[in-house]
Amino acid sequence: MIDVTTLTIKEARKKLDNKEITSVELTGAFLKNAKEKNDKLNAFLEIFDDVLEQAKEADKRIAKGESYPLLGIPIALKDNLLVQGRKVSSASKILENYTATYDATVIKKLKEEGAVFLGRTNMDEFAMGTSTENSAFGSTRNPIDPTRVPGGSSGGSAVAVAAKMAMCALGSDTGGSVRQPAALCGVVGIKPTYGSVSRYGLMAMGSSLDVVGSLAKTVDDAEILFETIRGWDKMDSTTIPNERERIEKKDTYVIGVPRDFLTTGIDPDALVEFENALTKLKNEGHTVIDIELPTLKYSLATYYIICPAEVSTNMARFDGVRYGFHKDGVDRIDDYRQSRGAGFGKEVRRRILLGTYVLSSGYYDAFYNKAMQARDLIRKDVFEVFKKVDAIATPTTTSPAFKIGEKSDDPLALYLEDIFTVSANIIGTPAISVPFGTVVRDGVTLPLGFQLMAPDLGETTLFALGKVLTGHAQTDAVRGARTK
Amino acid sequence: MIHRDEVKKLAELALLAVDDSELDTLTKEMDSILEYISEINSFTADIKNERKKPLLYNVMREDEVTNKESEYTERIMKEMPSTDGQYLKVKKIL
Repeated sequence: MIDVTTLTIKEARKKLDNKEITSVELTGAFLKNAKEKNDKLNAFLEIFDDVLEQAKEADKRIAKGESYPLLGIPIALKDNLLVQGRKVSSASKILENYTATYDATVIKKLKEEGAVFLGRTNMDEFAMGTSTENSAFGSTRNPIDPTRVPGGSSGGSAVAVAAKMAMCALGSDTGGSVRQPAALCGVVGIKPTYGSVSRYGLMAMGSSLDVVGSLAKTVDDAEILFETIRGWDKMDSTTIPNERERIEKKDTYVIGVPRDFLTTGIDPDALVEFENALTKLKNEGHTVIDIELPTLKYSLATYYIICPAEVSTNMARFDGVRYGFHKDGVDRIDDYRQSRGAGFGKEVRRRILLGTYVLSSGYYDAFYNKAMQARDLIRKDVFEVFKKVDAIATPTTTSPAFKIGEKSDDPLALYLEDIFTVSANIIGTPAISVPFGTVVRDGVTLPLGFQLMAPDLGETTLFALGKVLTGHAQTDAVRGARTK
Repeated sequence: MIHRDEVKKLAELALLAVDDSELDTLTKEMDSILEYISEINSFTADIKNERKKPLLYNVMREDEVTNKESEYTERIMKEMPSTDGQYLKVKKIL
């Protein structure tokens, strides 16, 4: 009997369509892992109680001869995606008992294909964080070393895939929230072009930065999931029209490396693996050149101005009046203060205050306006470079997964985790993290991520190069998870 | 860069109850973050008229009713912390 949890989506599809396995069997295997491992890893905030009924429905459709890439495939969902009639909390106390009143567009698309929803995964509250320690419902643990963080904010989704509690998962990426946990857990994570996937029904954090991304064991799987959820949506005016041309696949690519940007702060062992990845790309016939991007160093400061500004605006809707947690104060205005003060966790409150600060009249020009100018210029500079290269490569993170609690008292240290990932969100371009190489820390082999960024609608480039790099990288991650 | 009183004022503006005992840590943390993001002030560029095509544009379309009458009413009312019959109940405003 094969272990169905090791199958790729394509392999599972074939077996499902050939009636070698049923969705109930496939889903059951992941469900078993999810239930057994969740006490230890806290990847899921809720494992749905109708998972096998959903799988049965999928089997009925398969029996009728229907076939879609994700029909009967068990998927985990980040807890900020709305599924009508199900709880959704963004891992926040303020929405602890909130039930979604409609389906997100990505959910609608998955339902049409007949994907099976396993449950909702843990995350940093409202997606603010890089370690999944900011959840109101406890930290998620890295399956490769449970004393370490899984990264964040889509930490639960990354763990669900890495620990084979789900075949693939959806996350959201505002500054690296899909790619960074993918890197730290040894899975693939894609942040698609801003506007390529609808944000309708995704709880907003930074509206000009947010995008729904996919996490999976292999690049192929991440691509299948992306192709299912992408597309223009009437309900999201920032989605890209379907007729806009996507970048086509090529045989060989030119990859640029911003050397100046890689000088400080990177773990030396991680840098060695990064060079190994570049060598592999060269050996496979691609060209690697050095590029200069002097404005890239402003990305993180730019991000941590724009993001809190948008956070402070988006979080204003939570007032304890129309829905969510309510705490009584002495009067109506105090009701707001008390509900928001007690309902939001530390990091959310911190970002609301920061956002309020950078948008206040005395500081608007010095911070927000300046950041908007920097955003324009970074984009212009990067697109100048994209005239010469097809993709830009950096490590996904400066180091492997760190210990739980190691940085939790230092918000700035956690912000610095995003140094390589935020650029793609500021510019809106797609970026992927693929597992490449490992380092040993305290006797445990930890995965590393290699990041590639392409011009708008260049996902195909990222998938093609990701496949070149990962050949067998997924087995490293899977092996790591298995030793536990 | 930022003082305790300013953080307190910001919390009032953002309608956020912050415990007095929390203010010192919060001020310290915000101070280090603000110091870091002040890096943006060393950024100098003349980018006027650089943007040829706007990244964001308005999408205009006719209003249309996309749901049946009362289709969502019950679901939405169920999420309200306090109701009175078919009404959302709030404290006296005026």
